[in-house]
Amino acid sequence: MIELVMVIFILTLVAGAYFYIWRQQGRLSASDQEVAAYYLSAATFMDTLHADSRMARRIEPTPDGCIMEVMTSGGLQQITYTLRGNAIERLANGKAKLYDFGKPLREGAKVLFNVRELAP
Amino acid sequence: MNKSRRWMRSLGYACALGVVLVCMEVTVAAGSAPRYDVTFGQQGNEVQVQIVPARAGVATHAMPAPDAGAVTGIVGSPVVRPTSTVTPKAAVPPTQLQSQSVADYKEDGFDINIDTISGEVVSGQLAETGRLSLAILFEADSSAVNQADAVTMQSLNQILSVMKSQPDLRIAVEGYVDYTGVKEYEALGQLSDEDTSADRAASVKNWLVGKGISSDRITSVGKGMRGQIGDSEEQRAKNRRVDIVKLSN
Repeated sequence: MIELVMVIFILTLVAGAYFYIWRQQGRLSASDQEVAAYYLSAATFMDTLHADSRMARRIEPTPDGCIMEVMTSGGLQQITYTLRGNAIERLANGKAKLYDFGKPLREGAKVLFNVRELAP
Repeated sequence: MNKSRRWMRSLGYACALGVVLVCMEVTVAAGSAPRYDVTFGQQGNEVQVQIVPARAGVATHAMPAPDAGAVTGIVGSPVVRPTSTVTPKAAVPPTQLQSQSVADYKEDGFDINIDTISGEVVSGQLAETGRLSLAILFEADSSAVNQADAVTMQSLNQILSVMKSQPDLRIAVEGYVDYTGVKEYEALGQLSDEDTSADRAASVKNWLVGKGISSDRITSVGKGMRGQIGDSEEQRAKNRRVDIVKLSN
């Protein structure tokens, strides 16, 4: 009887540990598809940011993004980038676009957006 | 013949000198141009790039290798959700904006006390969070600051005194409107919510400039209906606001 209890106890421990490891792995690792989608959206955002900065006359960093003064064919215009939760919003000419980086690749990872001027 | 050769040689030297001077000027300009370091993306997988205004961005950091092994193929598409300009949900009767008392502001949902809108509170919050929402009221038919409103003037005077006491402080004035404001301006045949909010932010900037603050220290931005807090009566009052954002020096 004692042997049976011991076997059940050990089996429960092993099964519990296995389940815990399996769950942690599932939490911590993202699939290749998610990683690829994340970097693709990061590249899309970076492309837009570079395109805007190429036209920018002035960049003003703010605590949650930046404001760019951009010279367009329609004259001087402002483009603002603002961190909104887990996405970055680009507001230009009355139109807003949200750059959403999808599901967090790591548990609880927040989206960062920080612009700072480098010392000359 | 010799004369012509000499002439050509002189011309060649002059051209070479010109090229050298242009190169020097470009180098000096490149050295003095401000550069910005941009970090974005999810924590742990963030991407860092450098951008220079009016110039192509300079990638200084390669994207970090993903944790989940090599990316074997790109599946899926970038998650970019275009958000169209918000259309008013329902016909809301235009609100006549009038001068408000402190009690009215409190009723509208502003956590406000005229005695506590001190310069210390303003500068403290700007230093701590870099952002401050001010209760600034506008006339219904214009973007002019309502100078008859006590709380509005108190808020403006405090930001004015903070800017005077901190000569290095630079701010962005962000103007916002709510659905009701948009309806009012549509009814008046005026332009979009962006223009309205930009005009309102500009009028706050102009007021500060008129009081002796250099315009170089203030940037005004119209945010339209972005960052709406909600659509209830008291939340709409908060949507109709001006934010002061501290700019880094």
